[in-house]
Amino acid sequence: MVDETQRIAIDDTFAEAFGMKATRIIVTAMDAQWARRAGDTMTGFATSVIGCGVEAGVERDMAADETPDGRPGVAILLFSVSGTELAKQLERRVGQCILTCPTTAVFAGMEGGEPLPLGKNLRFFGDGWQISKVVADKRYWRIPVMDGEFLAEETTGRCKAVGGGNFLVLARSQEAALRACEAAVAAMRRLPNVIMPFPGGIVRSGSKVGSKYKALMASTNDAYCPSLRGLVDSRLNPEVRAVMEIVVNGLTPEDVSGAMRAGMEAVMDYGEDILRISAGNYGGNLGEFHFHLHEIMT
Amino acid sequence: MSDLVLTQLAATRQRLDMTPFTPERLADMAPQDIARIPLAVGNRKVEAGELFRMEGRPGETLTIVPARANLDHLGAGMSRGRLVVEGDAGELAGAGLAGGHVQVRGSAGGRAGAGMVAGGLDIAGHCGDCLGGPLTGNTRGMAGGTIRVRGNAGHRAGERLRRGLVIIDGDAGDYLGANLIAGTITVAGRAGAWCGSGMRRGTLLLARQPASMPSTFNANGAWPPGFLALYRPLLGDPWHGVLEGRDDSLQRHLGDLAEGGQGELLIASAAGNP
Repeated sequence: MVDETQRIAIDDTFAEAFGMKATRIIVTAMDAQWARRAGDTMTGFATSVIGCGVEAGVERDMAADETPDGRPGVAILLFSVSGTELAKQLERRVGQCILTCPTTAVFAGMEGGEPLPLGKNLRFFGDGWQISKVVADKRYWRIPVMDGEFLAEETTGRCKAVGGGNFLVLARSQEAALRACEAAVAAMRRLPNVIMPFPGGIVRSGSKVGSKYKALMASTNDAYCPSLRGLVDSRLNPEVRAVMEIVVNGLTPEDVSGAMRAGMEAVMDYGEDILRISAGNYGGNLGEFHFHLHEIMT
Repeated sequence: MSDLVLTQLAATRQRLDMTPFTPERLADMAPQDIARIPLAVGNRKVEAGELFRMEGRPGETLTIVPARANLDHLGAGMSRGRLVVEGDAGELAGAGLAGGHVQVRGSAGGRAGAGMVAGGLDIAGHCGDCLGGPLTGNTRGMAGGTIRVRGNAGHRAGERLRRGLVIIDGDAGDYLGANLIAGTITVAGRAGAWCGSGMRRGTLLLARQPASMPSTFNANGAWPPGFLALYRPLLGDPWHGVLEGRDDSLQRHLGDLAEGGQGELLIASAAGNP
């Protein structure tokens, strides 16, 4: 498929994605800056389940009139391969990044599914001085801290989700790839229920399964590395100088495909220095979700 | 919209125990069976059909129209559905409530909501003593749910409260929240003497300085509304402007130190609330 107005080719391929477990929390603070700071800290080292245990990101900023305690906040989505790991990472990250951050409070961002502890265990930090409050059938914990109280809802919900939706942007220059991906991420961030967990939403080190080194389960995606063109079975045309990938996780397959479409449309709007759009997969045998680029764009 | 309406034909001299009349207990009964429910009137048993006019069929909502405030146990032990009392309720309205909603459009007598564990009790007028307290023989009061009194409450409101929320839009009598175990009581008017006496944990939120409180409370200083933001949608108009985010909008006192001191009295210190 070739976009007739901009002559950007879209490969006849698909992104291979996986079933995951996800949750959403809401973090509020005295002002939007501190809420965002807490969210960024909690989701900073959460790009890939391979090394981080969880993939997480700030879904969106929330106005004061949208949050449970009437203060500015952020909605954060976290994805993991199992409910157990998700619970572990959630508790660890709330404990180290939200509890410690001045003026914050944390609330459930979804209901249903098996409940994941938020303040349920963190309350013990209060050393017996913690106070329980049940408001409208929800339990909250007030934990005394040095700037006042840390307010935490007892649990949050959990749901099935999709992780690993992706597309590759092949460009004539590194800057063109980056700017086009920035535009794509900006468009995708306007949609609910999705996050792009990598730095700025963009990956420059796409990987393939396996390695010549036995200890590694993944290694550089050599077929898309411009510096290896001529040495390996490259997928790059001679004029491609840089490839960047956008990985998207969402609560449903529709959320992921909608975000991919919005992102690819933004890339196509970017300009002529973009040469192709492709996607990463593992032959279709590993992931239960296949997002075919042509189907998404029709 | 009511499914079944029971209108008391004439006031009886004796009090009536209305325990059998809840939406769930009547749900599977034919109107003629409801009319045959025996009620104790003094030392006589009288069928309900002789005391009440019945309109409609049993459903989710039951409306009772009392002739005077001597119908006791209205909504007692109810676990689902909605009971509307179009007038004044007697003693123990909503006592032992385990779910559903009891709405009293007039005032209620003493021990309303005593021992309730879930659901909602809404009293449009005033209520008597021992609101949300323990049922006879019990050591713990209300253990869940929400009570709202739009008018004033009598003495000992929320005594031995274990859990739940009591909202009083008017004044409260003496010994508000006495021996409170946990839970939350709010008073938008003025509370009487010995407020929070013997409380172990829990929160008393007062819009104005109470008539007195025990000397076994320590001042904890100015306090921001913080967690009270969660209550704002429930508290409604009487609290409008009182909990609006200022860091010093509340004065906090901790007590009763004779019981460990983990209870809190939060008193709004805004201008105009002496």
